[in-house]
Amino acid sequence: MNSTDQCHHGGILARGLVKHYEGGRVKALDELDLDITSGEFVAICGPSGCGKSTLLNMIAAIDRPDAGRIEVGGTDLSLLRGQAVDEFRALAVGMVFQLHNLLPNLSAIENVQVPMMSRCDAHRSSNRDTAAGLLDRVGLGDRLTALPTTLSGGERQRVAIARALANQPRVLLADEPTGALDSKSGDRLFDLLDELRRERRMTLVVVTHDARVAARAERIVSMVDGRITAEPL
Amino acid sequence: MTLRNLDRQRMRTLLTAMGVAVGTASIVAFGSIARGLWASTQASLRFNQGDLMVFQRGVSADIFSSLDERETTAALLADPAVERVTPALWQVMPVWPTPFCFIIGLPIEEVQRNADRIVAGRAIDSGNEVVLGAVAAKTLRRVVGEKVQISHRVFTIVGIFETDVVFFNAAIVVPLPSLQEVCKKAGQVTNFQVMLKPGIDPRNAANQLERANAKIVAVAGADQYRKVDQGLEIANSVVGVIGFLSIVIGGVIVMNTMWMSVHERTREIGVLRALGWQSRRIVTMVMIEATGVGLLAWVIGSFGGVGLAMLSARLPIADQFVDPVFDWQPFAWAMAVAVVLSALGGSLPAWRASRISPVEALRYE
Repeated sequence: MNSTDQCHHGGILARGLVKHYEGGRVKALDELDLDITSGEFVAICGPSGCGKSTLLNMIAAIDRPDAGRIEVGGTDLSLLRGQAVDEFRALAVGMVFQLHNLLPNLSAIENVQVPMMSRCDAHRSSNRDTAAGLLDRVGLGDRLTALPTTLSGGERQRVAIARALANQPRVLLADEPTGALDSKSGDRLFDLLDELRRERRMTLVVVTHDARVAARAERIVSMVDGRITAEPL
Repeated sequence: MTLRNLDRQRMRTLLTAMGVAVGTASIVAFGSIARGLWASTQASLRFNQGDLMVFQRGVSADIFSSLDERETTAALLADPAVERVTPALWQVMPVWPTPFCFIIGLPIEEVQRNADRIVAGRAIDSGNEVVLGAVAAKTLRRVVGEKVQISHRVFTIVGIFETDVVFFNAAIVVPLPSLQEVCKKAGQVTNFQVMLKPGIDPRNAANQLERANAKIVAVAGADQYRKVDQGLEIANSVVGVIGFLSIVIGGVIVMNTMWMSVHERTREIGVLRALGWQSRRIVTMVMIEATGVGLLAWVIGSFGGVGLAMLSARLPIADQFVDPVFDWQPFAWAMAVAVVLSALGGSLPAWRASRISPVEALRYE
């Protein structure tokens, strides 16, 4: 299978990724290579500071490598500039952050509509219907107008998942999505993520340092010091 | 979303808007007072169906104008465009209990011609009678039938009048010969009101009169009043200076608030960028917020300005020449200033917000 085939729809291909921080003193990624097939569920594991989140940020096009190449869904991210980067972030990938990062003054349904606003059709009533449908799908159909402060940790993460799905991305990225949840809530969240992946035929990449959580993925990618050390089946 | 952001820090938004509103209120207050002066000047020119007013050339203020009554009357009536002229002597003198009072000397027949403006009593019949403007009657605390002393002469108040010229309302109207005698200005007047023959353009006539008489200037509209008095110009300049200061001070206040707001929301703005919001959309969001503060300031300032102007019009002494006019202009000036200072104040924070890197913002605590 060539790289282009592999990257169709939701495949990810990374070659020789290098990233330094603090003026080159900290090496976050060190000649990293990675292949993820479209529709795959991959967990990226490793200790704190090993470069997991840096890799995820690069797949989401919110950070750039100092060297190397990364393709997502057949798009070479190094070639994207300006508005094309914004469009990629809005449409190609959905991101679930560790601390949900919901906008505190917006209700659940308004938070889900935020990525749709980036498409400049913020006033379409269909956006509200789509957002309501997504919240219903993640089990929050009765909390549409609730503010984030009135939701539990698990509910906030489910809103964040609905928000990540707002523009029907081909790739769903989650950075420690269960980090702030108890194990029961974490398990339920992972069940939901996996169900959504299957339903929507998305690629799901989850960063976690929790081996028990990682075990639920189809494939585990382990990282140490910015490199992939092992990929147990 | 923008309204929610403003609403989230409601007290800060309100205090910022109030800081800016001080400037917009000043513009509305001084602007409406200046408009009132303008309207009163225009009305005084048109008083008694007049078309223009004639003053002495080269005076620093209208009150210092001095013309020979007989000579100037003859010169003006010699012009074929002129139908009729009315001489007037203007004086400012102490009249108990006020330190100064505006006194107008008019021919008795002119006062009688305007008898329809008398709201109490009657018009003047003899040289020892006066009529008071409604504001003057209030200021001097006099009613019809009482006496008023001007310099060494005592006059009987026979009527109270009201006009749409605020400084006429604050005046005592005295028979012209009597005032000339009191002021020792026999044969001297301050100005003439000139009534033109039908169909004559007042501005053309004013130019013609000035060309024919080197000693006079003719004023055919409030915009020409600067020929004899800088008061209107000064009032307009004051509004301009206040507007400029408002832009500077209000701009800094808005900038400070929006800078704080952007700083506090660094992480949120990073999330929006990570979710695909374009830089220009972030800029638009911050600019709309800044404009929202400006518009709120305009609304608060407009109410405050109206209140200030109305209060000024009730103050002693000021009530003799302040009669604010609340037409659209002062409000439009204030709105323009509010929008300009919002744009200035919001631009730098908006630029900063657009430069926020999503990765760094997401790490921001």
